[in-house]
Amino acid sequence: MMENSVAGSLQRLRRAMLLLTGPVYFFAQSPYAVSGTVSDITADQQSLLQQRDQLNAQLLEMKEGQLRVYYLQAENTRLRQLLGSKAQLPSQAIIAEIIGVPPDPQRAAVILDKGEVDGIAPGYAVVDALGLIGQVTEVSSNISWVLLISDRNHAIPARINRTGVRMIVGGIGSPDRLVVEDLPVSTDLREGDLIETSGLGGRFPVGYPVGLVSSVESTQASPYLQAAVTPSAALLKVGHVLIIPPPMEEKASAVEQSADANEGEP
Amino acid sequence: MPAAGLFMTVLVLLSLVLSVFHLPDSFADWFSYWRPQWLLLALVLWVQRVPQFRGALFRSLFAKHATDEGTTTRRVLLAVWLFGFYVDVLLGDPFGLNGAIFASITFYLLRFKDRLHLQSLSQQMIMIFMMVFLSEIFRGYVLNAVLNQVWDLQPLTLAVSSMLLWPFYHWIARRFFGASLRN
Repeated sequence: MMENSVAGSLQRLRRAMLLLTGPVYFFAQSPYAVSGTVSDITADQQSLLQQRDQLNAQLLEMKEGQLRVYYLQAENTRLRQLLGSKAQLPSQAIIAEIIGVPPDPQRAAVILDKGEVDGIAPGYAVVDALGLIGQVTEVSSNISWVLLISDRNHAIPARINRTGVRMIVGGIGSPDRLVVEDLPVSTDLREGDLIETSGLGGRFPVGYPVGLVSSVESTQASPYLQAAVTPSAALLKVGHVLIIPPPMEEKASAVEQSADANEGEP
Repeated sequence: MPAAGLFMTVLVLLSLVLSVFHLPDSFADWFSYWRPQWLLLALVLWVQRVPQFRGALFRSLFAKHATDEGTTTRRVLLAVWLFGFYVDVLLGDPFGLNGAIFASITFYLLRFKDRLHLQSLSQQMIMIFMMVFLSEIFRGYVLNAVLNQVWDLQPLTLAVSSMLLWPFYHWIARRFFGASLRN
């Protein structure tokens, strides 16, 4: 329905133009790409061997963790079957590289080198090894924009890992500080608490770390807690990220299909 | 004039790349508040020399060659507005924002063409300052309403850095287009 409206055609025009911005970002990024290549070439064997040993050790550690994850995953599925609820673990993640950052310091966003061709759509969650980074907002065939969680226009449905209390964590435009919005003063929230995604809203998969609570204050003036959260993910670093489809997507597309089928009937 | 055409093409492409170029992490935060408005400077440089210099891309946009001033003005306005759409997508701005800014500035430059040709370099610098300042105020207003952004000193800092770059643009353009704007 949307596709036929004026807004829909503008959206298509924008998507087509987004494809043309690819080369510009490629050239803007090229000095960094070149310096990366140069340091790759000039790296000495000693440091490379050292790096390899470090990575091997890390890999071993990860594999050991993975073994436990397999067990827990199986157990989780079993328990969920007993409870009669669907398995909630997200499906395959897509790896993408950050190829651009808007130069406006007020704009918290990054540009990725993957797009529709790779199965990305607006609303997909973006994470790195440490936690949530943001969500995909605009997609062209091989380039996409990601709104970071630190943007003033972004908010995450989250919960406290320790107690399970739900809340909204919003960005304020600073890369190392998020704020907790509208949480009553009586809430049990302490410094160092881990905040993770709650999975409500169906956009971000449940259980991804958002950040650690860095300060909690309650004043007489406000009925709400003034709490700040330090993001777990390295928001300013340029590198690789993972893109994860929303957990509700399968269900949503199924609903859409049945709606389409109903429409087709006379 | 092929040299001027080549210069203009390179200038626009370079401006596009520079306007999305981000500084390395090691640079101080305040540095990015002083990035000049490359595209706007290139636009002013071009519009100052319309209709003597049109450029192959602009000419290929329209089938017939325009002789009267009104048609040329309308065509230039349309061209910069369309280019603004591309810049919107490039910078992730709301659709039409940069087009409106570019077209307003182009209209001003073409409307007061004769008067602006009499300006000295320092007067031109003040003009650049005012253009960037006002366009950034407008951009700030729109982004404040649409993207929830806050006001900061960017309208001032961007205007100052763009203004300080103008003499350099002026000097380089003279080498490629000749001294007189009127020809």
